[in-house]
Amino acid sequence: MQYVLYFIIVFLCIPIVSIGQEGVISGTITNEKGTPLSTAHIYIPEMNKSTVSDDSGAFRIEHLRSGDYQIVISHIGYQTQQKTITLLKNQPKIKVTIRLAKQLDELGEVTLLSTSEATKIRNSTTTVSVIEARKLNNRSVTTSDLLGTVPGVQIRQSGGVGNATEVSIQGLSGRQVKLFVNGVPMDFLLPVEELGVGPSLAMLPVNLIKRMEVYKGAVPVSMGADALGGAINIVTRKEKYDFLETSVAYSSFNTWQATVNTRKVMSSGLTAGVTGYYTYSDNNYTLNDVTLINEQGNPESISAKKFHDAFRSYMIKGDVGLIDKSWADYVALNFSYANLYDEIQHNFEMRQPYGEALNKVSVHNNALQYEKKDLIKNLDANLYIGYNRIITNFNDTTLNIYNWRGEIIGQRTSGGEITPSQNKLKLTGDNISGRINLQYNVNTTSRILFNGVTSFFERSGEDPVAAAFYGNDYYKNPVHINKTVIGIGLEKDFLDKKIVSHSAVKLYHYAAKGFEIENDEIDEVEQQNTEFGGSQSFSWKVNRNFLSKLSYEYATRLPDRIETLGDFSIAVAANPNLKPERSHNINLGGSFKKETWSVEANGFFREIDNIIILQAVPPPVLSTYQNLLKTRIIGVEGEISMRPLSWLNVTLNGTFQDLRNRSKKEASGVSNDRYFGARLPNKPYLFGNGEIQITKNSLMSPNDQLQVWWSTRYVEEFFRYWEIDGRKEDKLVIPTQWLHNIGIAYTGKHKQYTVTLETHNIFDQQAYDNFGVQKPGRSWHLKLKTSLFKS
Amino acid sequence: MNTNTLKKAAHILFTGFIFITISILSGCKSDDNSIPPEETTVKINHGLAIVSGAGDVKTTFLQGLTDLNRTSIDNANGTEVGQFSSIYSDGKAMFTAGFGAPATMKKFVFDKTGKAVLDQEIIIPGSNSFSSLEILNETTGYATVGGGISKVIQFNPATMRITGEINLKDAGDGLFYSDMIIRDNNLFIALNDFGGSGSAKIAVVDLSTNSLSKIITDDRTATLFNTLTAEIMTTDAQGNIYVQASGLFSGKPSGVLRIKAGETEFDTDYFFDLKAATGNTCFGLYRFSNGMVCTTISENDDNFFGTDGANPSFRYRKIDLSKAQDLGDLEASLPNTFAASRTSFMKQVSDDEVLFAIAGTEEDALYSYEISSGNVSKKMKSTSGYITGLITLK
Repeated sequence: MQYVLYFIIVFLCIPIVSIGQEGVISGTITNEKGTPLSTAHIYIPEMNKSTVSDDSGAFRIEHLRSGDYQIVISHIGYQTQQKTITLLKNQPKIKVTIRLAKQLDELGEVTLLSTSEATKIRNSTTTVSVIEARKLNNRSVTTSDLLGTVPGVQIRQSGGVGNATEVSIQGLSGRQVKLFVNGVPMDFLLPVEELGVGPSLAMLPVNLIKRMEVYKGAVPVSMGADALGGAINIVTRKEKYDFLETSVAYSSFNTWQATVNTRKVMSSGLTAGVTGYYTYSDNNYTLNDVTLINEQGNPESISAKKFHDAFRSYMIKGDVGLIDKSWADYVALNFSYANLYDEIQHNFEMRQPYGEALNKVSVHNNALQYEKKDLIKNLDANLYIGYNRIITNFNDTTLNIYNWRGEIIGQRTSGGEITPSQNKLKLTGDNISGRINLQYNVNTTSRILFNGVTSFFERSGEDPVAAAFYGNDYYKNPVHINKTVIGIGLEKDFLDKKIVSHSAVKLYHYAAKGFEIENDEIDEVEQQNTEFGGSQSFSWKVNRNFLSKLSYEYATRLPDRIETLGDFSIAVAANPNLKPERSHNINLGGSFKKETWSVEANGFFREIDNIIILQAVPPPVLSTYQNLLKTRIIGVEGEISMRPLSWLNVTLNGTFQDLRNRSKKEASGVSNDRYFGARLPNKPYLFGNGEIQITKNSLMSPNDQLQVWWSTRYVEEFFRYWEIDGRKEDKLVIPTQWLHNIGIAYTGKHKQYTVTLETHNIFDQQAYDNFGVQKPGRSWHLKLKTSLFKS
Repeated sequence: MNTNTLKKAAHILFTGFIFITISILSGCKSDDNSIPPEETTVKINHGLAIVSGAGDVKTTFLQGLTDLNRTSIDNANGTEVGQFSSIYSDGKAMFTAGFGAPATMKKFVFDKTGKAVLDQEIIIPGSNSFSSLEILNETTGYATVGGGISKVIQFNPATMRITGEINLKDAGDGLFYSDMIIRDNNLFIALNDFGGSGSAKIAVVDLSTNSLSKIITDDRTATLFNTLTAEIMTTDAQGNIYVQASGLFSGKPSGVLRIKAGETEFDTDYFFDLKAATGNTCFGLYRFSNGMVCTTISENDDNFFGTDGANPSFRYRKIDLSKAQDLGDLEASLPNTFAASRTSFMKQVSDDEVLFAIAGTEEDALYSYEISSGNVSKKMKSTSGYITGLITLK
């Protein structure tokens, strides 16, 4: 409770402290036609202060004394402009509108990033990829699809829209990779723990996202979670101008996706916005080579459409707040409600069809956000406090047995399709979480960063069906988890900002209270742990084109609730003796950028110990998580981007990652060292992406745009089980996949509408990410996006 | 015609020449009447299952062997099953009961090189796994289906076709089926309710009518659990059936019950309290032609299932069923064995030799027990994982 009070006090005090600061230059940057220009760089050399204009072209520089200031405004593709502004004591706030003229040699979108927020992140000391979703929201792609295009990132999905998904960054995956939404751990906001990453990512459509930051290796202080070797931060859109934008897409397998996003900004600074999305898919694509069992019990191979894999999700979100106040750049109350319905078609290796099992989720989020640059002199603050309720329902109550044609072919005598007890399980999780992110600019070359995240989670449930089977409703026993992650970093520039050093330490604290069941007795189990981590990273801007980076992180991932306390609903017993996973992460890389091309290459090294693995045993005996295996990952990834002609973009990236077991027999669960040095099974080791995009402007009318693209993804074949075991020619493999997508989009003048037609997997190839689980074949996508107005 | 065109023409001619030459040479090859070397044929007398892998990625590998006279074995010629599997045999082929839905029984035959090749499968949709198999003769076998479906299927091992089924619904819901044994046209099926009822239960099936006759219970022990060990039921020379119960999750002791020859009820005059005799929980019951019987004793009930890196917890133990006596360790110097699925089995391969498996911290191996002398020696070590089954082909 003391943490909550701490956050509330800080929340209330910060705006008060900030009132009374004076001297502000603000305004709007536009092009010659008056259209707002985002990402323009506004710089006051004598104060060494700078900022970047937002999507509405607005900027603001505060804490200036009275006097004359020369400001320099630059933007790639536009002529740099200088302007002198005088602040008087009796007129300390000046608002200006600055129009930039285009350079004759206009550059396109790819190079428009040099001073943007995205570029700042890319130029930070950590190895990071940034996907600007805004540029891709014409397309019928999901958030998972976009993540899969990043070098070093592998997305493995078990089916279509909303199905199970595993995200891997430079070889680390599952719980080792943490996801965030606007810097807040995603599992506070969405049912990541209950349903996994796949459905949660499906609840974040691309059209509502501004960008995705994929941190590889050292995870920045601002990401407050115990990530072992990578984090993904999804930044949602936060415009500061009036607009109304809608999109609707229809795709194969009766897939509908619609979004609406609108905002109103009053001259008083009051702003309100509404965002919504709806996603539905039957996911009824054809599966090949599934088995129908004849009366003699023998399998016959058939092709059949999925019949119980529908996915539906919708969300409505509203916010009301104030912008550009002297005490707050942005303060807002957010409310959202999201709902999810997810039918479960089959077991994890797609051997057993289900016809009725399903998950339902509803999520309520309420949050207060506050942002202020120069809250007090040189201190930037970003605060979040939220209350979230996640209600999940898992229904598995039928005795019916289904075949792959969706026909009922018999009845079990007991149990559900998935669980031995049958379930009608409702779990209610309440979470209060807070985040404080501070940056103090000590001087022009040094910054101190602080990030604190704390959360209080309580979950309990009910399952009358399982209670009838077990004789006790075990789910009624509550589970509590408190997590706190505090990070402090020092960033320092050397040699006129050519070299930047970032040092950080993190403290993780975890306290959980749950229960375990032994011989029908319920025992309370408690676990708490405090661990440290640290990182050091450097970036070196060798010249204006070449940037190199080096980072080391000693990362820690604490055992999570299920791993340490167990979970009766999935037959996992508690293991309070689990040790944290630890990893030494080293990244070394560089990027070279010219006006028409760029190349980036990164090498990575991971040495991970105490990997937490579920040692599964047949139910109803409970399985346990154990510390097994030590792994070394060595890999390299690279990306080449070219713009040889003003209308042609080419991007090619590839990743090779060699995951090798480094455990001696004691830590492998085996009696000899034959697996020492062996490549880990069931992990892709060679994959890449390519894309060619042609863009033609003013084709049929002035300012219209036509885009045509071809994209491809390649994953080399890999073994399901250890490659050193068994006869090579008969081993189970996840085969080589090389899938191709093409698309065409036409954007009308003034970007008021875009019509997009795409086809994915154009050659209708059999696609797998996991053994036996087939992904969709060829699919067609039609999307219409409209900007009804934009101030 | 310019120089470039000439170069192109020369290039085409050269390529054509190479192509024609290769075609002619290939054609000559096809006229070669030399006889290809004959594929080596080996006689396979044994089938072996090894579970290989580390961490959470493990599976069963099957292979055929001409003999067992070797000091080590690996899985280089093993066929990857893709499931944890128990193995059974009708003397001609190898049958696997795999863990994981839907229940799948596979029949593997051995080709001329000794490779285990999948011949046919029987799948029961909606159920989790086959629990146990009992093959009566070349054309009749029985298999219990576990997890959700209460039945025994009758199948033809030769054709791998289901030929009948026995409904066990009246035996109760939520039961797991353990070992089976056939005697006097009755099929005795050990029922496992994980201690829920606090008693040992056996379903007696009349094979003449393929119907459930009755359920017999005995509350002196409970939990007929055979996941760790291959067998928990055996018949002695007189036709008495002995059933080993673990007592797990019930507060009851491990013990052995008896169903006397000619009867279909538990013998109320007989109970071998293994817990009292050995001091610990016991699993498994193996009987050999000379009347010797073994079980395994758990030395760490907190970790009776799983792979605790430092503490393999099971020891092979000799017992005397008729006198209800503990006869001590099979061999004092034997290493302990882990107890994952089927890590313990004992197989009599000749009148005087019993082979049994050890899954240890330092080594996985097949050991030999010489019945006449009582000597225990290492038969062969496995360098690729622990051995979970051995069958003998006729």
